[in-house]
Amino acid sequence: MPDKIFPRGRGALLFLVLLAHVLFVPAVSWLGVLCAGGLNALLCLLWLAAAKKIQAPDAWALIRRAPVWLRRLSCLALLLLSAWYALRTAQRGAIFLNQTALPEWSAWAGTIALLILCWRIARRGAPALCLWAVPMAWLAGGIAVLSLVLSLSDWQFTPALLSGAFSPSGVLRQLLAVLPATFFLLLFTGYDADLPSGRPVLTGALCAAILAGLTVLRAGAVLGPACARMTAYPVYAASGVFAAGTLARSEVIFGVAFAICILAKTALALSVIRQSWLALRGGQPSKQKEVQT
Amino acid sequence: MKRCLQLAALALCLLLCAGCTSRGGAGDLLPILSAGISAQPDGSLQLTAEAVRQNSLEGDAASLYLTASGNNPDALFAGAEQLLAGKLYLSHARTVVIDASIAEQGIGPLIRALLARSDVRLTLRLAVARDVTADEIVRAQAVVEDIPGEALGSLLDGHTARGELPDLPLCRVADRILSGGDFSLPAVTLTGDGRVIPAGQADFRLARMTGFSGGDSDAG
Amino acid sequence: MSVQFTDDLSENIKALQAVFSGDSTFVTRRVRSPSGLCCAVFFFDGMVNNAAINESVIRPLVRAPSAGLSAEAVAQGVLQVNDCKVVPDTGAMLSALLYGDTVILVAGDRRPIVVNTKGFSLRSPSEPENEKVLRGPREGFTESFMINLSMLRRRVNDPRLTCSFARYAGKTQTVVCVCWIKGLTPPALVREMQRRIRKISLDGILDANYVAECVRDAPGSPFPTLGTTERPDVAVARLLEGRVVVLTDGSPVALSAPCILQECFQANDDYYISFRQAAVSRALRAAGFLLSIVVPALYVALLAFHPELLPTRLLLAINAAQKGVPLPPFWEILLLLLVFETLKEAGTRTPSVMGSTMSIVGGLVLGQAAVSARFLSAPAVIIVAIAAVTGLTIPKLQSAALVLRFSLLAAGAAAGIYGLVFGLALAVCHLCTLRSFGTPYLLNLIPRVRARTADTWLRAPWRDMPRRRFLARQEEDT
Repeated sequence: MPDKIFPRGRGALLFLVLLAHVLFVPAVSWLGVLCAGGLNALLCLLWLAAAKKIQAPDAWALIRRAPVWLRRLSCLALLLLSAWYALRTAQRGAIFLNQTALPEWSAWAGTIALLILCWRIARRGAPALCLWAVPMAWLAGGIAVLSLVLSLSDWQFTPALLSGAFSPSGVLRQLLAVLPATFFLLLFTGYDADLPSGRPVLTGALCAAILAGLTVLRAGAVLGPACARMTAYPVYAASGVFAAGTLARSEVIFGVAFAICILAKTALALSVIRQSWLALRGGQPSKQKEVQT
Repeated sequence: MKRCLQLAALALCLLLCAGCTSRGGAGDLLPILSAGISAQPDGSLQLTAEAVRQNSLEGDAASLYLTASGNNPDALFAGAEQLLAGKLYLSHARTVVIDASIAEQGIGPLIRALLARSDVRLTLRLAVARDVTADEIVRAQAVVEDIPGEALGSLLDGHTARGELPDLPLCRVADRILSGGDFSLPAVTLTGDGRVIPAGQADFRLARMTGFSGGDSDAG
Repeated sequence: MSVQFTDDLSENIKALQAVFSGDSTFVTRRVRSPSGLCCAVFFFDGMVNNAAINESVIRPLVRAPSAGLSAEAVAQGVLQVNDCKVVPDTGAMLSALLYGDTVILVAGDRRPIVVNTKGFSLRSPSEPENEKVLRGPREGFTESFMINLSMLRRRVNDPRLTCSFARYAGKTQTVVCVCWIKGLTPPALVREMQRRIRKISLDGILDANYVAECVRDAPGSPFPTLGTTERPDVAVARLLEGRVVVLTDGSPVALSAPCILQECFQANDDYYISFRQAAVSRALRAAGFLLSIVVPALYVALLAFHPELLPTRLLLAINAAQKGVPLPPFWEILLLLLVFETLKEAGTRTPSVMGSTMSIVGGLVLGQAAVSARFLSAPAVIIVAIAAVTGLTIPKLQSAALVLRFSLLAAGAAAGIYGLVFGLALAVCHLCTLRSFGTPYLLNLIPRVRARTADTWLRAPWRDMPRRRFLARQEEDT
């Protein structure tokens, strides 16, 4: 079977990359996160509809059709943008790990380690990355959902949770936080009559939006809005509040789920770097020598 | 093969840079299960921390008490750490008991000091000692559990679960203080034979205790 | 090696004897019948069935009706053997001679006759040591590929079963046989297997593993990308699934391709016991493998980085156990794992009479005494024992478990639970990129469009699996 991106993998990767920013979100903006996630899903559908209209299998095909100067310019821009994004994501992740569980790993060492790790994941191209995303999405999503369910008894709803939960600027801020990752994923997404991506992409985006919104809401409901505001990583801190049996302070397990999301986001950006570089050089990614069975 | 060797070399460098190979186990840690902050006659604070140690697999866990003095909560914790070769490890601490006099002065600095520590769990329970000192509460012998700190924690958890005491862990106390709201904390006292029992609740406004309510007598 | 024959029998005898000069097992028997037929019979002592030569070759030649017969006439009218043919190619003739056949040269004809008289001793089929079952067939392959082929043919009573074999060019001239079922196995797969076998450039093949390491995908990966079995029922099952099976002469191990990860969690017993029992066993195996690779790393990660996750009593007990132990948890576990691997290796090499002694030394001395002397802590010994025992549930993934156990231990020691999970993520990524003869290694485990779960983590009842063509499923699964 030739290497191709299957819809389920695409949806899983989108789910992971959209969830990654939740770790850094202020706890009271849960409604903004939810709305931004919904808008993001809408944008994905718009892109898919446009791709169907122009019969584009993905954005790279459009880039390849462009004049040479435009192709080079866009590839260079994508390369620089994705490099910056990968570095920033890895650095934020490294700082998070340094401040929460791994003080021995300085931010720079953690950033390098994350980039190397993500490069190992991304170097085989987007099809392998999307395939990898399926079990990772189940793992991360499963941990997050389990954490939410187990903490339900500790939620306390107060009117303060609603004040500041929604504002147009907040929604815009959250939307801007998820747009780059969505954009990078949509570069590899387009119209395929044999493997329609609409439903998996929509499922991934909406599941991420709902889970993100609930996770942020949980942080405010468990910690209290004021306490959550002063905590560095409220979503992370709130996940350690409940006890399941003899297991207490399990926020690190919750943190693992989001660390996987950060890995996926960084790996996606590195995939874009790889693809941009290949497109810049005018080559195609080398296909694995395989038997057509 | 060459690539594997290169990766292994890089991993080793990162490991050495991270300093992880020298990281010891949990044996370096002395878990604190409960702590009490009492007021000294000279106005300074005294921290009484109950640490737990088990000397052998066949033996039982035994408590030992550390005391440290300081003018503020940060100085208390720093002083306690100076007593130890390892770190003051509050991750397993379930309860912090405060003298009524300290509560009346305000618990804001204590809350801030506790939240600043990454090892303190946000479900830590705070209680106010009524008619006794926090030091006496922490040193009181347990009825059921063999570790007093665990017994105290279980006592408060049980009563809050039944609704008999206010359920306000550290995170919610901080939330109330930051939002300027009123709240109540469990109050505890000692019986004649030195056992810890609940004694109503301590009411707070703007992070200062205004009095006790409930229990055997209502304090104004 | 080649030899040139002429029509002169004496010269031919000298030429052939010159090839094997100095070899005391090479026998030359001249025959002259009363009718005047002159022949020479050549064979290797110990490789042939002497009774067959006497009854079916020598006696008919001695009683030949006339002289001046050609090689064909002798082969068709004189010899009383089921398999004899004229073989003009002297290279093939020499190979056959070296493999236990008898060669007959007739005066006046330069073409040798090759007669099947193989009689070397072989091990009788017995149950393979490494693939025992509680219920089911107990036959196993032997070192003779013809006997192995016969076992396959007996089970696949279908004319579409095809076996194509060729002598591998090298000093051992080993026969490698590729088997498949026409109509089930994709022709491209067969061609690819044959192509890879032809490309092998070793000077000899003594075992199927020589072939396996040369033809497999991702030779550096610890995960097996070629299936192996010593059981004919398993080989037939794989043929029925549309795979190719490769038999190597001299080896009781059959190779099959493609190989996917889910096979590693399947045991032969699964198909001979009830599906419920099989489901439980399979789930235990999967859990066992995961425990085996994760538990040591998790222990180190929790102690070194996340002691807050441990319940208080457990933390106190571990602290007490570690008092006085000179090594940090990482080095303790690493040392114990190395000791365990050494014990395992020693156990494999030890003669059985010393086995119990080694068990006592390993268990009592190393385990009990080391803990008593505070060289090691009891929890560490328990953790490594758990990892060791659970690792034995998946024999096919022993190599992968070994690599992953140490790698995840290092990752856990470096970055706690985060390092452990990142290591697992990297392992999953490696699996996602693996292919076996074009088939994704995680086929059916990571569904692409529709999941085929009839025989993955759990086995469905046989009535729900009437057809086993897993390769055909690939086309639907895309």
